[in-house]
Amino acid sequence: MKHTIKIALAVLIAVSIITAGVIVFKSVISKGAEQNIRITVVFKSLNEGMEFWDVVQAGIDVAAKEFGAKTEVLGAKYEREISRQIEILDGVIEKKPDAIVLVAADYNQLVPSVKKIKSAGIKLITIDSGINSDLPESFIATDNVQAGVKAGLEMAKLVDKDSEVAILSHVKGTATAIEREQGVRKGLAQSKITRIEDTLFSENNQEKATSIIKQLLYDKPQTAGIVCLNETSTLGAARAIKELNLAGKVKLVGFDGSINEVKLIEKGVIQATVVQKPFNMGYTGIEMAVRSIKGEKIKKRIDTGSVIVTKNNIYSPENEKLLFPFVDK
Amino acid sequence: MGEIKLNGMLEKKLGVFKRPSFKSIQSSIAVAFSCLIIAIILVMAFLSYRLNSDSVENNSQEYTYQLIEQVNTNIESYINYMENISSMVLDNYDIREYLSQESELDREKNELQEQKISALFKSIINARKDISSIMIFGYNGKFISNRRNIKLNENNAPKNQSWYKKAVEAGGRAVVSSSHVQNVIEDEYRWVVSLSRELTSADGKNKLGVINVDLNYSVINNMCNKIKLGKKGYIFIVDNEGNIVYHPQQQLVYSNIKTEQIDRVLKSTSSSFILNEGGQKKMYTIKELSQTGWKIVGVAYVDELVANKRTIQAYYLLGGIGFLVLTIILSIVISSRISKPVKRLEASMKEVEKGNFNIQVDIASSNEIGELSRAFNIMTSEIKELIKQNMKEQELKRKSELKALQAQINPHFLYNTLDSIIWMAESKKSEEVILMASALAKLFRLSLSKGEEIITIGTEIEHIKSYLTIQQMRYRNKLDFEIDVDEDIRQNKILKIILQPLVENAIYHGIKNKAEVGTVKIKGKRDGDRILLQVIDNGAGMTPEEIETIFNKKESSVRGSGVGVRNVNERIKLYFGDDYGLSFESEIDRGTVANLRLPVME
Repeated sequence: MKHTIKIALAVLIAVSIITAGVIVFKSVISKGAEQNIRITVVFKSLNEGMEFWDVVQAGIDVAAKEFGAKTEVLGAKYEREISRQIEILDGVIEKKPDAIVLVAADYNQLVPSVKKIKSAGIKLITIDSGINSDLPESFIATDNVQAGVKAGLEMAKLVDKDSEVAILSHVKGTATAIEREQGVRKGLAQSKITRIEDTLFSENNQEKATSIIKQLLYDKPQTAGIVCLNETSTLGAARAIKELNLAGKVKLVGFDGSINEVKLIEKGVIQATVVQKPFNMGYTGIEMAVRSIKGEKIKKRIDTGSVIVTKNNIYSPENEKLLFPFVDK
Repeated sequence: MGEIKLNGMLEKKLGVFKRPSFKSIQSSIAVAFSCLIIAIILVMAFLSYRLNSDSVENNSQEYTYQLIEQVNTNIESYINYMENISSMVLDNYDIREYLSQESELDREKNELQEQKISALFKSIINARKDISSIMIFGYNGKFISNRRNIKLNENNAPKNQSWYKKAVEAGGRAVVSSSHVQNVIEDEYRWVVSLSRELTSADGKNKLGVINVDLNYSVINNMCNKIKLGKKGYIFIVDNEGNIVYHPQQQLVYSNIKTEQIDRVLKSTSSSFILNEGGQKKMYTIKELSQTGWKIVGVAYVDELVANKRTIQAYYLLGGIGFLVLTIILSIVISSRISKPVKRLEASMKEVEKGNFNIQVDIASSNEIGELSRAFNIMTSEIKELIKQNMKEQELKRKSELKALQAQINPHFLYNTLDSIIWMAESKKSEEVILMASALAKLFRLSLSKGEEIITIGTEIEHIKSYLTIQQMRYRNKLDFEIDVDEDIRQNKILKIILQPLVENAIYHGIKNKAEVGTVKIKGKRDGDRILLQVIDNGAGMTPEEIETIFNKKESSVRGSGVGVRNVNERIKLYFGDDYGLSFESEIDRGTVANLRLPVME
């Protein structure tokens, strides 16, 4: 009788130990499997319909799948709504994701938000457009100086050494404008091209770019080449050249690789363009976010690279994917 | 010498290892059981884990292969369909005629033909959404497609495109391009896979142009995208030149952020290989498309399979631990069932050691331990009985000694003797008074014998002589005595006052009742390994019943010398055992012989 009770007790203990073990072990297994990393991506804007951001998004999706992260993408309606981006970030901080990948709408105005993110213990990665702070774990973008150098060198190949070259920038004082111009001047200087006119500003307005370039070509018909520092400026300048029937005579080196620019390259209006790698930007942004969440040390500045596209290499396998991103919708 | 020393040391060391100190039966049984079961569990777990993990790996490889096979079948069916379209076009009379025209002789007829052909293409395309366009580029400069309102991109001449060049080179065979942007139509940049083919006249003599059928790339993209090889696994496709047809991370590969094993895949002859890349094992499964030479590659992360493996591992570990716990508990229970009774027995023995004989172990089991406890119980009760008996005997001894003492100072005898002395003194018989009184004094002195229980036979004889002297004087002319004891036994020891009760008995029951003078003889000699003392009288004698009565009568009902005689017998037996004691030989009117058999004590 006594023994039966004892054995029953022993079996009971054994069963309970096993059950406890199973529970602990299952939780361990599921923990390992569903290590749900939550990353929120905050763009400058969501619906300006720019292909560039669609491709960034594609890179984000691929990386999210590969690293097993859950991503949420937010953004203001328009790029200029800086205060809206600050509001969005406040909301995101409350939800406490593991990391935020931010495309900063302004170099200075978002610094307080960045501080808040850091003090909330959320990892922060900035992509494409940086911020005037050391706090982000990493800034992942095209090295604009390097890209500018490429444009400058390409222009130097197209024009004679003693010819005059103009630079059409977009918004005075923005980081990209400053860095790209710096690079272009460096590239031209390397190629011994010294006759560079004062930098013009399109204010990111295509029509204004057209009129500025038309005016320039009236005033200084000796201008042999124009380097434009973003897509709007490039398209505006190209239109001016086309309308003045100067295609091929005035060399044009631009930035970015939209379809419209590709068409203009095929038509010979634009000689070359510097193309960024938005897919890599999105992908690397998520990759670095995941790695910093895991406690790895990551580089403060990562260059996603850029390439020069000319009429000859549009359809090379590498550039085809860059210029005609296959974004499945 | 050295060797011996070494051996000694070795033995010592081995000795240490040989005897792990499991002191109790319980722990040694538990440990032995557990070791055995652990070994069995380990072997079983290892074997089944091996079998299981192998099958997991095989299964996943098989699964990957099946998925790839499925993709392969789908792509082949698309390409077959495109080829069928091209064959249909090739056999179409209208198209041949249209392409054979050197110049536009008949504008109206030409327009009609174009409408007809375009309508045909349209109907084909409407049937299949996956075909994006069908275009024919005639060597006669004619261009026709399923859409009539499109213009060719003048910057990208068809004849400069690689699909066109390859079709011309292939001379009538169908050529499938890698995925590319179709750029020959103005303002259109679509991702497609092109099948191109040179068209010839019915007799095969004249080359007429090139047909191009474009398959929407999204068809392949979606199909490959949907394939899931674990969480991170993916498939990719390369053409026979190593160009990527589909790769989910194509841009990363081209930017050198990721590397892909395209060269190895192209060179690989086997259908599968495993690659270790930065600590991550990837399993590549390859299938080549027969028509195009494309290679479909499934990339599965062994890590994910291993995660699965780890789950199995963890389950086996858990199972092992569970069984181990069960084993330990069971072995503790079983061994305690064995050792508990032993422990109880041990505790009981300790009690016995302390002198508690009232203990009884109640172990009902019928095994060896049960037998042992029963034997133990019998032993303790027997010891208890013996001790009881021993105590009883001790008590009896003391009582009989007391009685001997009583016999020795029999007040009846004393006052009779003193009466006789007084009477003799009154009769002025001073000589006799002196004799009697001195005999009495000697009697008492000897009987005290300094408190010793054991005295020499000589002393005992002196004592009985004094007694007999007194009695002889009291029973004048009625009692005579003789003492005949061998000299060589006089120094041997005997219990004191064992003769007096016998002599008393001889006088009071034998000689007193006799008319004439009676004689009491005391004889002593060695008889083998004993000493024989005899008290012989020639008095009335006793019947066997009377003798019986002496030995058997209850103490309380017997008075006088009967008690003394029996006490003598009992004392001898208590001191020396049943081999010794008193016996009588008697004959009525002839006398009685009392035989005292005693051990030889130096």
